[in-house]
This record gives sequence, C-alpha cells and structure tokens, in this order.
Amino acid sequence: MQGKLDEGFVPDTEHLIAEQIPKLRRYARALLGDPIRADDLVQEALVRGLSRSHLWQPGTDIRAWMFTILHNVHVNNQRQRRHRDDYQELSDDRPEMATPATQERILEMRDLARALQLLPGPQREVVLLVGLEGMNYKQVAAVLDIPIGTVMSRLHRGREALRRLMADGPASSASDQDSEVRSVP
Amino acid sequence: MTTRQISIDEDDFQAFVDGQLPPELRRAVMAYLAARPEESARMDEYRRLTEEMHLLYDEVLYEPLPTRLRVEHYRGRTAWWATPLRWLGLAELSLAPRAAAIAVLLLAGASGGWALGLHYIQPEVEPPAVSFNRLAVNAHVLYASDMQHPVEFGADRQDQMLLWLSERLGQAVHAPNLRDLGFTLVGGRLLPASGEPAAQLMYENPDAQRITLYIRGNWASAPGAAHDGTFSFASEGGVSSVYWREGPFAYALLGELDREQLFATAKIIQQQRAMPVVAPEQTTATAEKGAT
Repeated sequence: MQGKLDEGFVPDTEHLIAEQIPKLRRYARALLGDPIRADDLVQEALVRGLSRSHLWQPGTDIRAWMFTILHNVHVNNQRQRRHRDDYQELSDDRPEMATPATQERILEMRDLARALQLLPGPQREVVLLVGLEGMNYKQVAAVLDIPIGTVMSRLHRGREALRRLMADGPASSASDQDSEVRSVP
Repeated sequence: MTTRQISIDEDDFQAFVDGQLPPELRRAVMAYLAARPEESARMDEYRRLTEEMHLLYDEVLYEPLPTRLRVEHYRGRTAWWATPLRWLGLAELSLAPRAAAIAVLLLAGASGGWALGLHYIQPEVEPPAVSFNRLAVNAHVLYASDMQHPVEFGADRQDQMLLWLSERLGQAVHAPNLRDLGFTLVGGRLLPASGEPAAQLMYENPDAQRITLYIRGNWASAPGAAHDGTFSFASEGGVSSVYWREGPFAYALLGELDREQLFATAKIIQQQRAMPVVAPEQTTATAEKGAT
C-alpha cells in the first residue's frame, strides 16, 4: 500500500482538474510570454483549485471553473506586482533573438508572441481564450466576469491591434509580404 | 449594410471568424464579404493569426508536466487536515486555536485519514531517459501524421535547418543518410524538451511511411541518463522507439516499424555518427542545390 496510488481513492474532481492543466499551461504561457512565470501561475491556480475542489458543482463546466480561478490569481498577482512591473518589461533581451534571420516563418511566429505581449492585458486575455482555447463568448464572459459586449469589443480591438502589429511590426522581412493586405490610412 | 434585413456589425464578423454564427447569419456575412475583398482579407488575416497562435503554443499541451503541476504532488499534503479545518470553519482561526484544533484532528486523522490511505505520497520520479522517450513519442505522434505541416524546414533547406538546429542545440546536428533503407529526409523542426531545445528530423519512404529521429543536446547534464550507446526499446500505441545516448546527445528513433528494422536503422545512424564523413558530403550536395 505504500507508494502505490490506488485509483479508487482519487476523487473525480481531482481527475477533472488534472485534465485541465495542459490547457491552463498553454493559456498562461501565451498570456505571460514566459514559461516559468506561466507555470508559477498555473501552479497557484492548481493549488487553489485543489483546495477548493469541494466547492465545484459537479455537472458544471470544470474548464471554465479552473480558468476563472487562474484568471483571479492572475489579477491578484498583477495587482501585487504592479509596482515591480517596470523592470520586468526590460527583460526583453531573450537569447533566441540572436538567431540570424534565416526563416520568415520562425521570425513571424516570434513576432506573434511579441505582438501578443504588446496587447493590453484585457484584450490579450479575450483573444487567447477565444482563439487558443476555443471558448465561446459566453464562456469567456463568465471566466473574466465581464459582459458579453465587453468580450466582443475587446476581441475586435485585440485582433485588429494584433493584425496591425504583425503587418507593420518590427521585423522587416516577415512583414513585407503581408503589407499588401492593407495599408493603413 | 444589410442583407435580407439582417444588419451585420463587427461582432458578427468576429463570430464569423470563430465559427460562432448561426447558419443564417453566416450566409449573410459570406454574401456581404463576397463583394468586399478588403474586408474578406481582414477576416482571413484574423483566422490566420489564430492558426499561428496554435502553431506557436499548442506544443505546450504535449510537454510533460513538471512535478509541481501534477495533482499527485499535492495529494495527501493538505487534504487530510486542511479540508476538515475548512469544513469546521477553523481555517480562518489564528495560530494557537488552530494548533489545538489540528492536535484534535491529528488524533482523528491518524486513525481515519491514515486508514483511508491519504498519507504523504512521494510523487514517483520518472527516469530522464523515459521522459525523454515519452517526449519523442508525443512529438512523433503529433507530426508524423501531419500532412500539412509535418516539418518546419523542408529537406530543400537542409543546410539552413541543420545550421539553425545546431545553433539552438549548442552542438553540431547531422542528418543521417537513410537512403539505403529507402528513407529520405522530409525535413525537421525544433521542439521543446523539458526546457531544453530538441530537434526532430523526419524521414519518409516511398510507401509514405514516416520515421522520426528526435535529438536532444546537453544530455550529459541529465542525471541517470542511459549508458553511452546502449539501445533501449519501447513500444506504445503502435509506435515503437529505440533510444540511446551518444556523447552530448540523446537520440530516439521512432516509427511504426518492427523491433528489428528499428534497431537496424538506429545502428546505421550510430555508425554514421562515428564516421561523420557521410554527413558533410550530404550537406554540401544539398547546399549547392539550396544556395539559390
């Protein structure tokens, strides 16, 4: 009995929570742009989710529940870190940037990661929950605790900002072919 | 603008992009966009950005979870006393009364919780070689079946690819020549492997059968790594793999081949590593072709 996990004792909620972790991780990484900080966030949400698993109502959407927890943790952290944030922005000199500009695709992907980070947080959240997580607008509204109208306007503004950032972004090679899509008046 | 009395606004455009429109509205938006190439291009661009987002981040879904993100890690740590404390409304108490409550609960917990098997459980740590192989299997399953984007770099840019992969892995990466076995290089990609970069090279034979070679650099740093050059075999869900360690690299060769074929192929790869004559010859040949 020592060390061996008896499946019979695993509460269902715990299983359901565990299933959400990869998705929470993906979202957190895209949201924060930094794998370590992202895992920190997921860990906090996980601990909180597990300790409150008795509050989850079976039959309701566990994904939404866990994403809500993660969002709340994130908002709290941001509030606490706000004054320290100034110098977090400076740590942009990632080692990967040293790679020569051989392939547009990679460059472009990095641009997207960077462009995402340039979006205002609330827009980034909506764009990612809809685009990456594939949530419907109602679910996003519930997770972020905002009206659907706000979801829609953030989504629109976020996507439009992303599109523009990608069209006339900092990396010259990648944006050249795309700029014919539209020249912003 | 209206089509059949249906007014279309920006929200509908977004919902159109996300496939969240009811069919009727969807048709209306399509009719509207048909006459407006610029707006239509904007929708395409939104969609493309969403796809790119997936390309960029979906890999996270297949990364093995660090211990701290596994529920097992937390099982038993808090459950046996924290939850009863909360139930009894004691969680908010200050330390002294809480300690008293814990003492009482300890007695109950020792007989109750313990009997339920909720004692501390040391999360099992996977040997690095096994988790390395699991990453390789995941990557194989994910990309070998992919017809659209199996690789980041096609074999036509082999030269650039190897340069780039070598740079990222911090060691010279060669693409073995497997033509004698009927397999030609499709290309490769860079993948994350527990925080270290890894490379995946893909080969295909005329029957469209694909094998992948997964390479991780900096392997000496991984504790408990397999012995140099010794092959290990694993098979899971139809995908077989042979993995081994060679100098600074860990390799895994994967495919839906039988054990003997896989071992034979791995041996050839190992031999070519030992005699690096083959690789440069091959790269210069394609370099000339690739240098347009």
